[in-house]
Amino acid sequence: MAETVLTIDARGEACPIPVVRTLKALGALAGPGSVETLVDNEIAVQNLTRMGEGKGCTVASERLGEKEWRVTVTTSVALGVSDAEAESATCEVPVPGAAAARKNVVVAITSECMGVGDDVLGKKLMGSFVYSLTQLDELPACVLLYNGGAHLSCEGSAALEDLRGLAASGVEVLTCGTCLDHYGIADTLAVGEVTNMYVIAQRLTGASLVVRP
Amino acid sequence: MARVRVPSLVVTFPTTAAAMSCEECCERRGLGGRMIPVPGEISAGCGLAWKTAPEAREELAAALAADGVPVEAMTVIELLEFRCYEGTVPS
Repeated sequence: MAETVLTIDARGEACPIPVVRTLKALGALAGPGSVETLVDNEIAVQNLTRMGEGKGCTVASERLGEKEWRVTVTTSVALGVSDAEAESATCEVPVPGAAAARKNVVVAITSECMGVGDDVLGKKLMGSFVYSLTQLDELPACVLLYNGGAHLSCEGSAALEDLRGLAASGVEVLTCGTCLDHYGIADTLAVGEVTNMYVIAQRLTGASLVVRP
Repeated sequence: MARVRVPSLVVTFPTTAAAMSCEECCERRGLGGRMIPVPGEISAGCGLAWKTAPEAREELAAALAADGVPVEAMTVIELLEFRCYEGTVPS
């Protein structure tokens, strides 16, 4: 009996779609066989190779043209691949431009301290973290400050200078109004804007990445 | 506002406690500067450092010596700082 070969044309499809389709096809083989996937970029070749090897398959790739590769993933056994597993496939190799696509990074600062243990050290660490934000190649889109983090945007905060620089450079610095009221420091806010929970929820859920130190 | 690389004096310490002592020393004496994480250009390790202007080296070294704050190294490197474009002011 001839070995089953399935062919997928994933040219023009963005990561992780080629990996998802190939995984599903491997599962559909239900026995020994191969899946040949056509892709149009080398990153997809690397992702498919990593996925195939991770599943214990033999992987071969061949460049067919300037922007065309064929990746052949061969299995000698039936592979159990659930839809959930296939759908959860991710780009393990960074795609060029992915960082650029991750424009909406939100930093959520929820305490004056970074980490748990010694609060004196924790405050120094948080100050260092906010300073480190200013040294990043690409600044975050937004810094949210709530609960104890609200103290950082108020007068007397060691992080004020850095937050002011970030705000002046286009970073949205938002402090929770409820928190400012709770701590009795609303009249000492020294950088950015007061915000509410609706905006906080919107910024957090709309972020491409939320960083909580 | 732009970020520009500015020569800065970075003082590193043998311990975190010494870095904190430096901060106390400088605040008490009215010396400028601030605490920062040790820049990767100086050490791959984790730690706190003191950043100030290169021209403050002598005065700072004398103050730290007088207060018995142990120093590991003093290094001048370029660090990013926020600077206003002409005609703008920080918020």
